[in-house]
Amino acid sequence: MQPSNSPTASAPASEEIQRLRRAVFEDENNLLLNRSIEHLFNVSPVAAGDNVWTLPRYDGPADFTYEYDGEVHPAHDVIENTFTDALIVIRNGRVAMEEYANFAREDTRLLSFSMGKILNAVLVGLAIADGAIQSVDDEMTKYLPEFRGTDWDGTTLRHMLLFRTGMEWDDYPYKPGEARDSHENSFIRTVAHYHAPARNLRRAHPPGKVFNYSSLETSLMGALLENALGERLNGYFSRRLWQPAGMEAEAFWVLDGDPEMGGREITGGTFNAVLRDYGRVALMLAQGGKANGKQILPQAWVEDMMRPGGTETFEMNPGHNYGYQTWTIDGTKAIASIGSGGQFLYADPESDTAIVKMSHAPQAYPDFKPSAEETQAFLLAASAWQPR
Amino acid sequence: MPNLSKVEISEQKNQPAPPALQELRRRMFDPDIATLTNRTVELVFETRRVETGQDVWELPYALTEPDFTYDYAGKTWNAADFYENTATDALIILKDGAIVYEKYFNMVQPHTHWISYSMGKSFSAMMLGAALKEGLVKSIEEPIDRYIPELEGSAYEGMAIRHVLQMRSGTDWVDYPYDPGPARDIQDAAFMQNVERFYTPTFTATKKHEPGEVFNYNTLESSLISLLCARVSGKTFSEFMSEKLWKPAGMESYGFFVLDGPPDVGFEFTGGGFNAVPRDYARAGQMMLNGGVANGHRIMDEDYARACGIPGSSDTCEWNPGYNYGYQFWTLDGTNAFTAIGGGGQWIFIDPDTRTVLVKLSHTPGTMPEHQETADETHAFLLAASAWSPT
Repeated sequence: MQPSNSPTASAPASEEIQRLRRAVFEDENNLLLNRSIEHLFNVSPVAAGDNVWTLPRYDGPADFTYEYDGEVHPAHDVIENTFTDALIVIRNGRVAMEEYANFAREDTRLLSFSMGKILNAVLVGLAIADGAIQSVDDEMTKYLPEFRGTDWDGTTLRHMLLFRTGMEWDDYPYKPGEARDSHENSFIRTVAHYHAPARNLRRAHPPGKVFNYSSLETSLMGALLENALGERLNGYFSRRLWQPAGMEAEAFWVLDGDPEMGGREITGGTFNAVLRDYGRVALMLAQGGKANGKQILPQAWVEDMMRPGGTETFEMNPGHNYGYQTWTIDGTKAIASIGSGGQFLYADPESDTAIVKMSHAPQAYPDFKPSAEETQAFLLAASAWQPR
Repeated sequence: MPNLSKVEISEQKNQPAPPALQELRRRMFDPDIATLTNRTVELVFETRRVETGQDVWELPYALTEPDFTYDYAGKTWNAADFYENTATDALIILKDGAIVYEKYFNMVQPHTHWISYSMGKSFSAMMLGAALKEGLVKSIEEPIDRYIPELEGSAYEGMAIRHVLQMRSGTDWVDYPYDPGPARDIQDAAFMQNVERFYTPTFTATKKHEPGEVFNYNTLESSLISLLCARVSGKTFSEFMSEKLWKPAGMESYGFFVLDGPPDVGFEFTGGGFNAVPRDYARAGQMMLNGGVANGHRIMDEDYARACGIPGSSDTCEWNPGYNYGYQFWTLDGTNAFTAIGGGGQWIFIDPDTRTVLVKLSHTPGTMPEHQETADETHAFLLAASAWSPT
């Protein structure tokens, strides 16, 4: 097996496929892109097991409202107003709303973008439970020794999970720059890992102080995990979460190249699964790490994941702070993992609410903002609702 | 009185497709994403499957490298140049019933369902052949409105099925959907919005020429052929095709049609919306080469299968020079070869003289003049591939 942090040695994707991938990342094609990833990319399957976690249901209607932009909306407005393709609301462990739009179906596997970052925190929790990682306070160089003696010295896994490493990185891929280059080289051309530039990054702040959103660090965490576990992430994730939690369908990550030649899962934002399986992940987090009648993830780890890493306010996402690879919502114990194009995985332990919404909204700020704000209003209203 | 089917034309109006889907469907022809849209039709459109059976028609392999050249635009090209020059996504060549070359491009796989575009028209002719063999239709000289009474009062009243099959109805219709006009309007209403049955403009068609005199390519007429098949079989067109072609021919995967509405009211878009895996297109071509026999089963009479590839007249097609038209198949002037052709570079080429079948699936631009350039290069390649004797 190639070490996961080596450059991929894959042949670049054909010019034609590169052109297609660039074109399909345009907003106007989101609806198609989000459901057709396996036609466009090499993917890495995460197998489901046989023992499906059955979710009981409420029979009553979604008879609640939410307020947005000075107007009161019936719950269903969120579907059309915010580019929704699939929506599930789970209250008290029971499905209270499950809706599909635009020909998405219960077996459609949808791209989660950065919503899937939270799965890296789930993986670290599992790896600690299994003893493959000793502590979240370990230095990252313990598992990525080739980073010793670089500006990364002193950075712990916790710093990485909280996006408070202090390393210099501008994560915005929708304009020319280092993030765009990483996106191009990993997704489009499949010639390098997304985190290929990581080792040469410069330190801007001491570790633990300043929040800086970094898909590069999430991708690097994928490589770190593979080194620590000594096995491919898709097999481990299947064995430790997807099968025991009773997921109903195979999921997959996008690979940044041929796996035989060093291609690996791009863990920063390429996970694909069916709606109800995302719902099950959210429900597991809302219920303290329990899934399908088993304690899959230690409760203390779930609580750590959902605790904000600071108290400051971000222009990028007001009213939120950041836990382990997920946004936290100020003044609540809830989290909202958010992905470009309107992907939301919401879990609130206090009201026992799990909500997942998959959408084809515009990917970049500021076009993304209005539908994101309307969705947030919906999430809070749905957690306060008492379904029958 | 023929036994008209239970599949009546529905007056029922359904809800239009969601606006976001309509917009996406209209971008289907965008050359930037065509290689993806051509393989993801089932994710975006209303569809109905043509189920297959268990007994797969195994095509033998005799693989070799295509070491021939072809001449195009004043240059001699290697066979390998062709794939890239003409935006190829899959290419299969059969000689004497064996696959001698099979290659996929741009992440297409043997199990990828690919849209036929107008190659689907040829499948409507195959199914009429099956309906004739089963005695569900007596003869193509029968008037078409005997089976589709809604055509009474239109220019199709009393018209022999043959003229529709050969696209020589003489009705007034301009079939180019890339420009504004009735062809685009009905395509949009039927397949993007799902609010009209695609064939309805035929019910009010007016006469421009005497039937049989003039060739005029008309996608609506492929729908009439398949509507006729559905009527006489008493089944959906897809069920009829599954029973009389897809299962007996031993296709390896299901096929599916785009519908012009939800499954309770929608009719198959045989004129352009069929989808199948590449090798199943090859099996259909091999069946035509075999004179209507597939996997040991006779699907249509031999005379009918041969007639599909005989031009309806001697005048070459004005906008497709070098070609004429048989029964929903194009014929190549000066040869006995015939071919299904679909927009964006879809081809099932059949040459009985050299025992060649060739399937090419592509994502070339559907609009003129780009379409013509790749079509001309493909024509040159087809003739060279047909003449090629693998060693």
